[in-house]
Amino acid sequence: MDLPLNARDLTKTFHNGVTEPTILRGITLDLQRGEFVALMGPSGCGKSTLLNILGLAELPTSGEVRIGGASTSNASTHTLQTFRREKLGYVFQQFNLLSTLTVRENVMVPLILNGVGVDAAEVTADEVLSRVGLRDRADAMPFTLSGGEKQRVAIARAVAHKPLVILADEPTGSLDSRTGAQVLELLREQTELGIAILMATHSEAASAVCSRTLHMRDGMLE
Amino acid sequence: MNPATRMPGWLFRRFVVRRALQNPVRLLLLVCAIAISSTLISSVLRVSLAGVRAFEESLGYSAQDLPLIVSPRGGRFSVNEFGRCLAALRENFSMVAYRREVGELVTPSGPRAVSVVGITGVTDTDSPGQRPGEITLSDRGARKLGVRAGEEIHLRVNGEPLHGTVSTGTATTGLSDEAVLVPLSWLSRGGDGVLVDAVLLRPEGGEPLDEYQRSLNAFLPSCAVLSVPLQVDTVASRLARGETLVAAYRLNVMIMAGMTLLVCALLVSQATQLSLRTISRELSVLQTLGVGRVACFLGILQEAILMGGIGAVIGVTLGEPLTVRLTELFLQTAHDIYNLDLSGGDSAYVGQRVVVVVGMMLLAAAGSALGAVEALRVAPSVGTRSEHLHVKPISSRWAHPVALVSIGLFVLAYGAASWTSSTVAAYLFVAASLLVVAGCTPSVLVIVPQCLRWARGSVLMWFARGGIEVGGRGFLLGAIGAGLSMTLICSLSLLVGSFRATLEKWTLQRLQGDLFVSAALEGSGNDTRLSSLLAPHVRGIPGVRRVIPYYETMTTDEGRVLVVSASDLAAQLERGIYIVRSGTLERTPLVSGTSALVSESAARKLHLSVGDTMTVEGRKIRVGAIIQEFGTEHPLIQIDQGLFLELYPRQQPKNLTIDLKPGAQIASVKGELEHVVGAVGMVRDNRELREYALTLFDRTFRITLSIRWIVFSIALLGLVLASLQNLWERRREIKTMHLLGFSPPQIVGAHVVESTVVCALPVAIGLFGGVALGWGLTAFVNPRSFGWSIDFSLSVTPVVIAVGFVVAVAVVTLMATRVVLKRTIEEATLSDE
Repeated sequence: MDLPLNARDLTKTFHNGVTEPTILRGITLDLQRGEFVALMGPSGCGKSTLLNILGLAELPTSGEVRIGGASTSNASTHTLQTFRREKLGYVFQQFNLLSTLTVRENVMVPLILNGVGVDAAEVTADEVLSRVGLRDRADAMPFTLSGGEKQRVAIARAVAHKPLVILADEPTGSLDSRTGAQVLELLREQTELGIAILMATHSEAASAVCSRTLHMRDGMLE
Repeated sequence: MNPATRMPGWLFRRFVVRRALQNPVRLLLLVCAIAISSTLISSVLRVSLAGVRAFEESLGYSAQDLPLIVSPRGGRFSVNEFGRCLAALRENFSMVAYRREVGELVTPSGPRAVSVVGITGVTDTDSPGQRPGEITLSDRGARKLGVRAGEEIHLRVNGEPLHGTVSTGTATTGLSDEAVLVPLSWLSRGGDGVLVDAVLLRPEGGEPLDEYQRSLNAFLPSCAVLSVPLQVDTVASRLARGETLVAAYRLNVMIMAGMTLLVCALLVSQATQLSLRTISRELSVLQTLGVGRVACFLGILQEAILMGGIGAVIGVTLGEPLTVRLTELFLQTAHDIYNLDLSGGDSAYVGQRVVVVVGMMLLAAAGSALGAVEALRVAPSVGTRSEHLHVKPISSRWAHPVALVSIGLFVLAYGAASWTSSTVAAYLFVAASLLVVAGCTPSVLVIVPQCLRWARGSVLMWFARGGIEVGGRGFLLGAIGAGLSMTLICSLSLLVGSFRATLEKWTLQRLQGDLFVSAALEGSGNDTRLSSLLAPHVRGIPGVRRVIPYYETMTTDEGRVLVVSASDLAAQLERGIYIVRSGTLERTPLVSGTSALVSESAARKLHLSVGDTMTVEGRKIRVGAIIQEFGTEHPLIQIDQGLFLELYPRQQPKNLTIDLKPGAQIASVKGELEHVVGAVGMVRDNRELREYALTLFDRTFRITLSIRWIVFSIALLGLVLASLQNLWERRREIKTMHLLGFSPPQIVGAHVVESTVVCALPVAIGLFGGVALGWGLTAFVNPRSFGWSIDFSLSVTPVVIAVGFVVAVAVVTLMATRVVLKRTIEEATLSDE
């Protein structure tokens, strides 16, 4: 069976006009279905760059990323967009909810982008919101929510369309420890549905919830 | 304030100045807005000064030097008789008498009709040192007639040859360019006892002017020497024609300029807010570091005022060419239509220019200060949270009460305007119309998203609804500005459109007939007349069925100017030319001279109703009907020609209307007529005349319609700025949308739909407000200010402009979103830095 996420020999070099620093040096990693993997490392080690490349927001200088067994190398912009829409989910440190849409509409967006009808998307969104405990806030606007609630909406949005992989960048970074623990538990519950999660974090407590921890230093996995 | 919480001034200034220089677009927008607004303000001042100048120079004398004018109640009077009367008074007066004739200037290309004004005395400012043998023209008139100073020219007046040397002087406002000044004695060679049209007087005693006027008016009827009754008016009252023109323009332009200034202030404020949002995180950090909130505000205020000041100076300078163009347009219009030369006053204008610059700087500073208040909302924060910068919902707690209060005031103003005939109440209604638009905009921006929630719609519509719901306060100023602008544009369009439609209908009915003969020269007062011998000649031309003369003279009724006109009412009633507003057209009393037709202007200004009795030259006449009249803004009555000639036996027709026999060729009759009329008259096809009336109308309102586009531009700038501000603050969301899988067209579409809806709402409010205001202008303001009524009619023009407005905003948003999106995609990352 194809792996949800598979990366081979990823390198990334930036050109800033003066120097050409290499941020990633031959990264190879696999994510299994339902696996919850923590990615740890000091600031500047390349975690965010790796996440961007695995999330198809940036292209690697060399190497290959496969999503669900399909190669993304040489893929067109449109194909990458389709990969992101169908196969990936994102959770950000700053939540990044679409502030002009209600909680329910935020969750419905990925479903509708994937061709689900509005009625069906609404039913699914309400189910997912029930799972994250926010069914009663479905009509609220994001700016009325607390940080923890926003992150739960973000997780609901990330899982609503049943992606293969969720990429999370410091999802508990803006939350207090109690709320952070709830969010991590919520993310862990999603792995029971078969979704693989790769989470960049500085928190030992957060990594303790994960099934595996990858340590990164100077652009390489240890 | 605790010094420990203040940031060193030099450091803060460095911070804000660098920020300002980093944002040249903001400065550019400020400059554009201020340039357009200053243009309007400058034009208003220029026009106002031109109007003042017109009074000072009008009719070739200074009203200050010769402030009273004595004229006969029809025809001419003997200056000798008048002099003997004055002698009986034993008062000292300075005096200038004048008389006008239609003459011909002999030029190499043939004779050319000119107005020849015979004038006495040397105190006249326009003809200093008038000497026998000298013919004076204005500089402009000399250029137009193609003659030069020192040149000898030949004139012919009433068949008498005159010749002299040309002397040119200052402009003679109030006279046509074709007017030439000659000694009065030249025109009284016929032994008519020096009959004149008017005498200008300056009392030498110390009594107030109105005392002199009253005592002269009381004395003259008792002066047995006079063979013609005379009246004394102030020169200023005789200049009411120019005054009305200037007042109408000034009012028009002032309203638009005031509105534009308001919109401009909102725009400047919006620009300041935009700048502030980009540094709100830094301001938050500064406060965290210990800088006081008020200190932050004061620092921002300094920057805002600095930017506003720079924008004002550059804006005013850039607006100058447009000001010059608009002013030229006005002066040309005044000249083309009214023969008024309003040029001059430039030195005073320079002084006013300083006022404009300072005023614009204050305006820009005030707008900037309003925007800088946003700085007070920024709170200290340890984190670097920048999410939801644009979240600024409008609170229904204040929006709905404000709307209700503004609606209440509107209803009150409507009631006051309907139940009274007060001009003040009419203008209060105008103010209330604008207030209700501004007051209801926040409420509508709250209600509409709530209504849209009921309709599920598409994802794009969700963004539109949410954009209004969440960010309403952010673009509220721009929305109010756009709403007010659209109100103004819509109301002006409807007013001008309704006026034109009414005038078109009026000309069709009133200017019936096939041909029209008028005096060759346009002028004022009693100076342009056709010979009374002309009508019998015209009747003899083959093909002519009927000739209807029209008489007109200007008199006063208790100090108010009154135009008394006359025609063959039996024929006119048969032709059905009158549009009756009140009363009925009863043939017998009208034709017998016991009743008169009264214009709406006369009915309003002289407080007359159908059935009332008025006195004209001692004769009591009943008001038979009130008719629509656009020929003059002065009060006018129309009586039968029999009565008119009884009251004013020396009057001659002003024009002739000619009906042709069935089958007669207009062109050939016109040719015959031109031959008979010669240089003293102009023959026009009545169809051409109707078109000419509408052309004059279009020319008059050219400035109004030009300024409409300036208002449009400013409002557009405001909404585009609001849209760009919104876009700028939501770059993060664009990135998120991109990562979630929105295609670029979907992202652009979402923002365009949002901007379009955000723009369409205030524009729609403005359209409704514009219809209300347009109706109010036609129903209340116009009749009370000008005296005539207009049939209000709706037209599609405002809707077309509104759609153009919304489309323009959508197009700009489309282009801007594409640029931001491109950059966002290039920078797309999952991290938040």
